[in-house]
Amino acid sequence: MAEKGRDLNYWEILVAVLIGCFGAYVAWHGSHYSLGQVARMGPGFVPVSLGIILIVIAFALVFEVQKLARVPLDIPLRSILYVSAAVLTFAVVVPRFGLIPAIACLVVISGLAERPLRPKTMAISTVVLSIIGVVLFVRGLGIPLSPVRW
Amino acid sequence: MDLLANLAAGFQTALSYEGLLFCFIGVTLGTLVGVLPGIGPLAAISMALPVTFYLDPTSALIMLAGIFYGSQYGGSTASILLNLAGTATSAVTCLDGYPMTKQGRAGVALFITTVTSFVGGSFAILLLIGFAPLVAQFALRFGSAEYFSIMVLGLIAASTLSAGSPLKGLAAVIVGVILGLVGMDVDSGVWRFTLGFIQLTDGISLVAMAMGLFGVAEILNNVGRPPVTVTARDVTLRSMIPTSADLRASLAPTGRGALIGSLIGALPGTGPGIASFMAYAAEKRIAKDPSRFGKGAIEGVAGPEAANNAAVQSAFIPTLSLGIPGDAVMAVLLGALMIHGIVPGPMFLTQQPVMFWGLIASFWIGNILLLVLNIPLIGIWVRILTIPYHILYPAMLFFICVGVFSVRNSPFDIFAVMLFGVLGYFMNLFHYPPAPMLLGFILGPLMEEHFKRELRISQGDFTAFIDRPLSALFLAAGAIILTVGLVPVVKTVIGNLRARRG
Repeated sequence: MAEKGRDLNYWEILVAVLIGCFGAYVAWHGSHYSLGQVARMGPGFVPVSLGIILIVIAFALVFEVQKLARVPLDIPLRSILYVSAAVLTFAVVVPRFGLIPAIACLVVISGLAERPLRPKTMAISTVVLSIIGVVLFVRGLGIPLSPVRW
Repeated sequence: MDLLANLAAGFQTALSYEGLLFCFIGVTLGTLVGVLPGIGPLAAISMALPVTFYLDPTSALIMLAGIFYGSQYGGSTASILLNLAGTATSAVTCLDGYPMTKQGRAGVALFITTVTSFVGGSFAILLLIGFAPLVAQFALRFGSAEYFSIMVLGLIAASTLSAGSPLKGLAAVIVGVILGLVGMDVDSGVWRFTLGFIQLTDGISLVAMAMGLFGVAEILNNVGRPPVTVTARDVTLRSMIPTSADLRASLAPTGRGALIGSLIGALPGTGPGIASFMAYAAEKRIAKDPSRFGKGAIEGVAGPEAANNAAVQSAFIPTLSLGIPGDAVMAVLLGALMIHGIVPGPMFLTQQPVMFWGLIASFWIGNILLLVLNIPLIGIWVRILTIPYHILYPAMLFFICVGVFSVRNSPFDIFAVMLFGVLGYFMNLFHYPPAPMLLGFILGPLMEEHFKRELRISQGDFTAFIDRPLSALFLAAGAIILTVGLVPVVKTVIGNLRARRG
């Protein structure tokens, strides 16, 4: 169990500070929209108010979380990157090259997040998902996606 | 006798070919989703959402609702057999359900669960039939002040009553509300926070946020981790027959659970998760021998399961009759309705009686279907649990990507899904609850509208919110919940400050 001593939980504090910064940004950006008066509020009133409230909450949070027991952060960074890259690639490929190439990229890149690599599974998944994709989404539901585009 | 006529019309809709078909698809999908760890009902409903655009609204609703309450049935299967919470609400079922499996009584636990879920759900449906029209009548007198205040109450309840620090919950809610403001302001036509992105003029896509926060984040949570070994136990039909002692012991907890669940589900902002937790706590407190809990006490399974199914059904009361979602899933369902051009609220019952009563009738049919499906098919669900995750998650990513793309034909939305996925992952890591954020996102713009409108009517007079008795009541309730919730936080903060000085 992590010690709850005089050590401060820096990560938690950082998160609280980030929230405060976000609140500050919202309040600042919001103030550029007309605030209006209370009886006829402009678009900026609510964002500014919310931003300020958020700053207050973040401030309180800093004091609440600082003594939280420090748990080792075990973030599988590689997996996160691969899955994110897979989704991103899909977004880029689909309009340019069509659904099936996008599926292939998605399956392969997200598959790289797991070891060991399983090329056979990837191939089968690509085929199956492509069939489902074309039959269910393109033909069945009429979603405007072309299966393949040159 | 109006009620019977309405119910009759409702059953006619629900028993039509389309009604039955989509009810069946919904509950089956829901059970599947509940059984599989890593996909919750929220992600599943978000994924099914784009599909429903191509259906008529009634069938779409029936199906989505089926997924929701179906997932409660399925979630208990994984939690009892594998100590894996298939849905957040089934985490409580693990506490006594899994020990029962270890004692070889898995079949009994599963059977009791299914039956109490049915009882809980049916009870709540009766409440829904009785109360939704009343609430709608009542709500016709709601003005903007009341709407605003009840939404505030809902958001406060959602952020303080969910697990973890209420302060973090509040932060999540407010961030959600802020995100809801992105896009064109209805009043002034000004584009807010669009950061130069034309794709944001219509706001952030609800589907993208929901799928990202709950679908992708869950995948990110599970990928790259050592796989959970699943051994499919053979659960035979005979092993499911409970002893009479079991039945007697489950009777009262089921009743209590149904009651607790119905009440908590009906409150805006609270849902099945809190309901099952409270039912468990209640059972433990009432029990003659509380030490049995955690070791396979059937009351610890029967009560919470009745509660979460009841809560799921009764969450429709505020959603349909007030237009205020009972929890995050309801919020997405509400979003689905609005996309179809239907605005739930007091008008919904009178303007769309066929849809409303058809939906309610379908709930009951769905619960029956689930009862019938789950008992014999337990074996199949268990076998599905053995599908390795590395096959599942690319498929899930596929459905998420195509699904979100199909809503607005926008690759930008897919990019948004990725961002929310990463955000959701880190939120889970640091214990900031994502569900209140989604709730805030959906309610935020509505709240702003009502807030501004009321102030315009009262010409800048804030006391308008307290002068009107109902509005004052809601705000007072919210204030109480907030204060009570923040007491432990204040204690912690003072403790920390003192330690620093010491």
